[in-house]
Amino acid sequence: MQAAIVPRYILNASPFYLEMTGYLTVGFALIAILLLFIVFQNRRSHSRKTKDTAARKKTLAPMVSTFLFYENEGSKEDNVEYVEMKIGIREMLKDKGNRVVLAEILMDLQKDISGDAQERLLALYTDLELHFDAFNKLSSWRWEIISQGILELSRMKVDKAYTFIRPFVNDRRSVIRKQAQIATVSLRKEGINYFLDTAKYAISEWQQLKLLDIIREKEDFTPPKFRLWLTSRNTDVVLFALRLVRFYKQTDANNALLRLLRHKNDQIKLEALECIKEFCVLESLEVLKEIYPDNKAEIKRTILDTIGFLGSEDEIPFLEKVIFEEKDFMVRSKAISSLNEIRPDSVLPEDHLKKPANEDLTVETETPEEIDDQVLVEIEEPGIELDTVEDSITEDHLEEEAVAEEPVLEMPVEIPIEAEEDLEIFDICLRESLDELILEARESEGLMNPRGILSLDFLPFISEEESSEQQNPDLSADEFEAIMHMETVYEILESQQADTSAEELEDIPLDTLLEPHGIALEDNRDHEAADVAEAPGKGVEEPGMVIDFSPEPAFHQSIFSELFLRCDMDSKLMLLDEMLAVGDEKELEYLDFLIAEEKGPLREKAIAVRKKLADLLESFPILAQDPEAIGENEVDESSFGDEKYEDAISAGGFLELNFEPGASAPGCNENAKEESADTVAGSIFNCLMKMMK
Amino acid sequence: MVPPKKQLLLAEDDELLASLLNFRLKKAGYEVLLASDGQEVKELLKKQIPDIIVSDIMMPYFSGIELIDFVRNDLKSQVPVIIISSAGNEQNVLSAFELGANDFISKPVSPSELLVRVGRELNKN
Repeated sequence: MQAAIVPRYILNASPFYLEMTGYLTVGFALIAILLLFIVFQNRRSHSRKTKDTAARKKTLAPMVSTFLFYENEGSKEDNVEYVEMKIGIREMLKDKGNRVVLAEILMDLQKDISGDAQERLLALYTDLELHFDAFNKLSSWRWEIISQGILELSRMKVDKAYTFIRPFVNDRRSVIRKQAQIATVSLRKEGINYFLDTAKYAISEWQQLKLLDIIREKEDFTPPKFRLWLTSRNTDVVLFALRLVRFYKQTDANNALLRLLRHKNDQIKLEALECIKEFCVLESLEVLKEIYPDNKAEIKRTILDTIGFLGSEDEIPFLEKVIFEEKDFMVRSKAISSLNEIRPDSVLPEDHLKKPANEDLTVETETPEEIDDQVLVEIEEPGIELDTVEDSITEDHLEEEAVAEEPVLEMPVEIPIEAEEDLEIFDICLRESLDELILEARESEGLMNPRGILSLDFLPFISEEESSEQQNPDLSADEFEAIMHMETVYEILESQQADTSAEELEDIPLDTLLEPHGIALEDNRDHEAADVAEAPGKGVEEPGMVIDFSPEPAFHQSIFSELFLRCDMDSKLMLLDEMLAVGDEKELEYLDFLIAEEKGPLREKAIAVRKKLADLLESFPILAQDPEAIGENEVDESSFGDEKYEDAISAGGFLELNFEPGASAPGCNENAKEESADTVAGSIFNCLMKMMK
Repeated sequence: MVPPKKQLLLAEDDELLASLLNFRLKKAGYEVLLASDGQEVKELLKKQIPDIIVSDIMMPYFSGIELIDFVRNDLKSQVPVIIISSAGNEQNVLSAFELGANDFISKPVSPSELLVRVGRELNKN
């Protein structure tokens, strides 16, 4: 048989003592049994103690109730019972266990009952001399016992304990220290003073809240001047004092607050800033601006917030400087919000905005010449809708422009905010004017002649019903009264306008200039157009109604009078050029006025333009005064050209809207009208573009 | 002839407070039925309906709110119920009122105040 091969390490292994295993097993078993016995004994002792306490409580609780609700007015038996019980309880209290249980009962009940019963309970605690046990606890070497003693004395409001507890305010053991601080502050009103005077250790936020809560609930508490502790060397005391100053709104600490703005501790600075903001310390503004650069971002934000809250227009340059120079976007954002707080809407949101659909006509994106060309081309091509005008100012341009126009918050530094607002207002007015033009053009698609030329007959026109309504001879007295009242309004407006200086006129928004200034009853004899519309047989006594949209009655017939009001010299010269293209007799009147009023190059140019325009009008006479021509023209070329219109003319009594430059002048031949339409559309755009530029 | 004592059911799980209030209420002339948890209250109510119930809102097994629901919806009783609630427990108090509680008193309880409220509720009927 072949012998089994045994590994060498098994042969060399040390011998195994089986007896040793047995000893170890027995040893561990004994330890386990011992531990189990100890645990069992502990539990038994604990449950016995609990049972004992419960039994003692059952005995003592009714006695406590009797003591608490005892009244002298009871029967004699009751009084005897009370006295016996008092003697009995004193005997019982000789047992330490009973004393402990009774103290526990009173501590429990103290937090569950209030009012008169609670006061009696606190008195009972001292009557039974249970507080001496608590005093004894204070001399223990164990921190939990000392803490328990302090808690008991403070809860049972033992006033005598104040001087015993006070030394623990600066105990090195934090639990005892915190318990002692609460007890000191709660036991006596002067406790807070002692605590703030002597506190050497840090005071946690939670501890501060608890102390504040205790002070707040104290009855008849007159808070001391907490500014006295703003000079403490303990920063937590300063912080707590600041919070108390703020809580009790003690506004006599302004100088100290200003000094604390320069404190090394950021929390103190923040708290001081809060106080300054709450108390509106206006003297702090200069200090705030001075200390601003040396602080961290969080403090800077709070400083800016305070400046925004307290500041006036004087702080705007500082804020603008911060916006321009500050690198931290949160601080910059706070500076912008503070700026907006001082002067609302100084900076408006510009980031991440969607372009509204109706902003397709962002005319700034193109040069006036480009738009001019596009408009003229579109109008000349028959059958192409005017929508293409909008489309042609395409999204590509808008996108490019959007990139170019990415909001730059530094803008206020480069462009004065007021000027920017004016530009925006002008932009809006311009856009509205353009929209109106295009809208009217769309509406008048039906008025386009077969060649696709924009007819100018879409211009304001009064239907028969309206005019007959206005001319109704049965107009009631009230209605006449209302109309007369409207005339009065017109006069007032006119007189106000007469008083307005040239500078004030500059401030008048363009919109208001384009709005009607009143409705006046105009004497037919004074107006040729009214003569045309005058119904036969009605007589001159019946006035035609004229709605006057012009800003000044003297030049209400010329559209240029409105534009001249808001133009600089260059624009006026350009407008004069355009006047030659679109002008008629109304512009002649206006040019006369300009020649009389203006000086220098404008006057010279006005003279030249007037001469040219007069020649032009002579070579192309407008038959504006021929009602028959009007009727024919309308019948031929517009959708309004129906019998109603002829009836209206024959019936007379027009409601005339005279803000038109006379482009609808009747009697023009077709070629002249085509030319006029192109020129008017192009020129108005051109004018507006140049104005905007 | 001495008028019969008003029966009052006091449901409170804190033995010391229950004992104290029991003593005070008895002294004020009420016949007090004491219950230390919701289960006990339910059993007592199945046997008899007292003249008034004073119950803590937080009790083991069966809360004060459930007790009101039980009384109003299961027993269909309109017996006055006064709720004892700890301060800052407004939401529970509102729920109790919605379910039909007549009054509430907050902890720490003033025994004198409780007596006044009990007397007022009983005088209403």
